[in-house]
Amino acid sequence: MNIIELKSAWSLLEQEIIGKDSVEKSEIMRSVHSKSKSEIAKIKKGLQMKFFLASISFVFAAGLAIFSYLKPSLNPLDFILSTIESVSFFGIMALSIGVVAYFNFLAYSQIEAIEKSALNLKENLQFFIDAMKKAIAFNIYSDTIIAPVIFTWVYYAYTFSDYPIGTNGRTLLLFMFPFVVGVCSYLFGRFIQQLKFGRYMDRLSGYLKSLQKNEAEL
Amino acid sequence: MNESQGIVHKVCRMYCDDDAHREDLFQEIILQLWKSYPTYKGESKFSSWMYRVALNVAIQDFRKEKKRKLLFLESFELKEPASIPKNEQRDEQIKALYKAISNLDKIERAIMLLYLDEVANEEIADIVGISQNYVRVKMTRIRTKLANKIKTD
Repeated sequence: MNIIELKSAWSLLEQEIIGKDSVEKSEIMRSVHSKSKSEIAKIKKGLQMKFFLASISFVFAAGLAIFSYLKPSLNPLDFILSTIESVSFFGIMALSIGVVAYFNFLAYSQIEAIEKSALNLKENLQFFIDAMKKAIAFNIYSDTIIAPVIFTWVYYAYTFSDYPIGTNGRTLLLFMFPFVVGVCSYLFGRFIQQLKFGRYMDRLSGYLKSLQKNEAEL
Repeated sequence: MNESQGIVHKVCRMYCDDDAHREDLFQEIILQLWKSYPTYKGESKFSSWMYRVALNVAIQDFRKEKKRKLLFLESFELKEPASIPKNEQRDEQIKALYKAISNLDKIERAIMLLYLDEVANEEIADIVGISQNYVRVKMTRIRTKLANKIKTD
């Protein structure tokens, strides 16, 4: 099919579009007020949910830290941790959850910016790829933070319940634990994100490169 | 927006394989146009702005391309027997058009759509964000690609 034949087929398609595809104004208004089903909308929804849960967890952890400090007899973790330890645990949890919520907020801001963009195709691709990369990175950071905190405290609680901290292997492990779990958690998060968006991002990068490379050749 | 919906429909036809996908994309583009409208400053033609927004949504569409290409052709094959006999030639032409388009990547489809819609070279360059020279080069490459495909078929 040469370009002239393509043009004539296109004009036939245009006639079909005019005949068949015309949508009533009310239908368009319904679309405007409906919910988006795009992948971006799904990511946004996920981030909103995570932010909501993080906010509740933050309030809960901070509340438990204050509660354990003010009423040591009602410390919910007194079967395994002392009052000071419980206050520290809940305090660190509240702080970590706060950081998670902050990273979520940053990721959400990036996605929001994408939705309002009306740049040309090349600039938009560049902007979209950069914003998605940042959003994915913030999402990974937020997922990475909680696991080392929880795992380290569980390890601490069970290992040192009747064993003092000193210069020994167990204590060394205690300090290595957050680092090791953190790295594993980060790598796992990256793997999951790569699995979800890797090919998609590569494809978009390919489009962008084709526009940039060929432009440079001229 | 209502008056210019032809542009949205054409983008949907260019990028979508089946009715359900077309409806989804139509809705996404309308939503995006609505959200982006405050950013329209009147510096370019309204139609150019619409093409930009609609094509950006279509290019960013998450669904896998290869899978879609197959569905795209399959869906057309399924619809074919239902066509009215007197429109057979027209349907054949449209089918050939779709087949040709399915060989192009998303950026090439965008340039092809603008070219087929007889958008001026300068405007195509502005919408895509490349030089007019490169638009010409790209069109030559698309033509060659289509010609090579016909040879191999």
